[in-house]
Amino acid sequence: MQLNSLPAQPSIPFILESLPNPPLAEESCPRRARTHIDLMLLAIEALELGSSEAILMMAHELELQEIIKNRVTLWRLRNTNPLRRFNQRRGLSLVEGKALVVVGCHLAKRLTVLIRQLLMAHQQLTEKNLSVEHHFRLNDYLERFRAHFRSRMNPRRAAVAAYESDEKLNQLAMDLLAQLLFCTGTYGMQRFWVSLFDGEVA
Amino acid sequence: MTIQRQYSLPNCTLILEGLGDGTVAIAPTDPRPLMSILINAECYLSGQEKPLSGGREFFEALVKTVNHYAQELLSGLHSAHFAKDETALVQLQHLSHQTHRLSVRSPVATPSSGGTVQAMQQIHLSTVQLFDLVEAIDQFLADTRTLPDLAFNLKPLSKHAVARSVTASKQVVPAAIGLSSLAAAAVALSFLGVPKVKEPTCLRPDDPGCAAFKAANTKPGASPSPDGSPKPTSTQAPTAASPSPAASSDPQLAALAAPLTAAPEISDPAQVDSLRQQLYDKIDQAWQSRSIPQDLVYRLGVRENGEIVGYKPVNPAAASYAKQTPLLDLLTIPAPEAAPATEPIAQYKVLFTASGGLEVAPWKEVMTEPVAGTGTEITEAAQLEEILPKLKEQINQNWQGTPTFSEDLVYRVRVKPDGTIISYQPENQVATDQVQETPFAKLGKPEADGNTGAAQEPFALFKVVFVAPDGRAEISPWRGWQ
Repeated sequence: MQLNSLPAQPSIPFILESLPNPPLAEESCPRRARTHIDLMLLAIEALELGSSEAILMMAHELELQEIIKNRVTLWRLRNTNPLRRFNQRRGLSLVEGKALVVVGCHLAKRLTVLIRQLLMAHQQLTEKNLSVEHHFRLNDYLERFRAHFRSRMNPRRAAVAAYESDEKLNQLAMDLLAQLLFCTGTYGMQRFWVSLFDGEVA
Repeated sequence: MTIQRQYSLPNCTLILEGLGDGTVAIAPTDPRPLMSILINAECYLSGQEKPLSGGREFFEALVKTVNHYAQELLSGLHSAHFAKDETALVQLQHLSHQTHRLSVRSPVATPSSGGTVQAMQQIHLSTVQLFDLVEAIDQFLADTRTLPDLAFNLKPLSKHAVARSVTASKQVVPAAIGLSSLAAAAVALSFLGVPKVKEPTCLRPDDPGCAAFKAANTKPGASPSPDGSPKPTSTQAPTAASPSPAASSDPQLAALAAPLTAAPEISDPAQVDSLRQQLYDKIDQAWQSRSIPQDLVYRLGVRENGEIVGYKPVNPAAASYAKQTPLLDLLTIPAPEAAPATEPIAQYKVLFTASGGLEVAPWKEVMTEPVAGTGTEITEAAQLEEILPKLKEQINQNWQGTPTFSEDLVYRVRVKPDGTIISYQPENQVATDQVQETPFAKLGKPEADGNTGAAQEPFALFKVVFVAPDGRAEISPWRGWQ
């Protein structure tokens, strides 16, 4: 049956307006942005158990459920990361990218205390020349991050193979943790979003 | 009357002192007077006895530097302009993954000489301390009642502004040779010399290479072998998807395919695999449009250094829609003096799917075990309706229906017209993890290994969902009922 009424225009949620559209030739997230967004979410998942559920709940809370509908949509969006085993090889639109960034930054904000603690602990361990195993919570985060990364990224990718050793992966996890801290700030979301397009615009 | 504003974080306190502007009315939402002139800025960092302080010039430099540095930290890319500026009043440098050095120049009066010298103050900040500094500044920038002329304004660095050393280490698309048309490519390739095909190799009129090479040799612009010596040629094996009518009708495409037959082949499996990965990345990055009307299959020649030296359309559509793939842009035209025929190449089958997917497989592998995704997809509802019960029966027979998973498993399944499963692809993470539990472990092969079915065989795509927690299987056509 043909419906006479026009389909509702998909409106862009207000919260996404705080992130500017970068001057790109195409309205989609470039490769580095797709990779980075997924890795940030991976770090959040390693920080706290049940974060994949939290991502969906946060999307709902922020009224982004039109974009991040369910687990499968979320999985598809995140698998636009070219390093993934099941890379979707589809694009990630700017609106979808923004939605993931907004959700990720809001989750990071909730985890601010933990993120600060772990970064300070890591600093202290380094100063004392102690290994990360000496801090239970930090070791926990790193272990989980390594496991997530290894199970989901495609080891045949050169960019993934570069993180073969535990050390390299730990370093990546720590760099991401520091970046997550910067996402928690007043303009953290905007800072993170803009950084995704460094070197991509004309 | 001076106005004081303070922004406090655990490791950093920013205190600004300035003057108000009496002419501006007090905003109804914020009763604080507007500070429009800055007299002094003080920045107290934990572990430092004395604050960093200065006037407007110092404060502006601090805001600018901290903004830049925070962005570098997030993107991992360095601004070429910013890195060089050693005369800046405020600088931030990366010492290690967790230490950053903040340097501030300040003019200090020296009573002995009566002049001033530049004193350099250096502070090492941990990442958390640095963040507190960034956050204090962000809170100031967000405050519209304090120096409203300084507001948060961040833009992505342009391609040119990113420091070169960093971009080189990044995986960037190798500079594409600026060829945009088939004609231009053909003219350049005419210098290569098109290998002469020995007559006996054209045994059948529909031999894929045969007609095409004839056409190339008779093309007026493309003169064969400028040096007159015939290049060593190898006979071309008949390809799986044999007749390529479009290729033979287009002599320029035939010229692009020339290196495929003329060069010796790379056979080391490790090398073939690493080149395959490289090739995939290259095309994947360069293929922006991703919209083609149907699957396109090409045979590609790649040199040891990863350069694509030639390609040949395998199916007819591949010739017509070549311009919608990035292949032409990625093609490297060897210098005329180089002897292309003697440099070994590896050959690959590259499949661009209509759905925007990309598959790259070594050509030999494709030939020896004839699995190729060149079959036509069945999309007619009537046919799909016929296949669906057959698939359903198979799945139900092999499915105990006592799941241990708690989330829905989603698969894309490639099926023959008789309902036999050719291959499957998990569509979510749980589906990947739990595949051993499903009938697919027995019935099909994972698509990721290149099992896309025999060449030319029609197939249908179905979506199979094992619904948690009861484990019933829901089957529907992948593209829905049309």
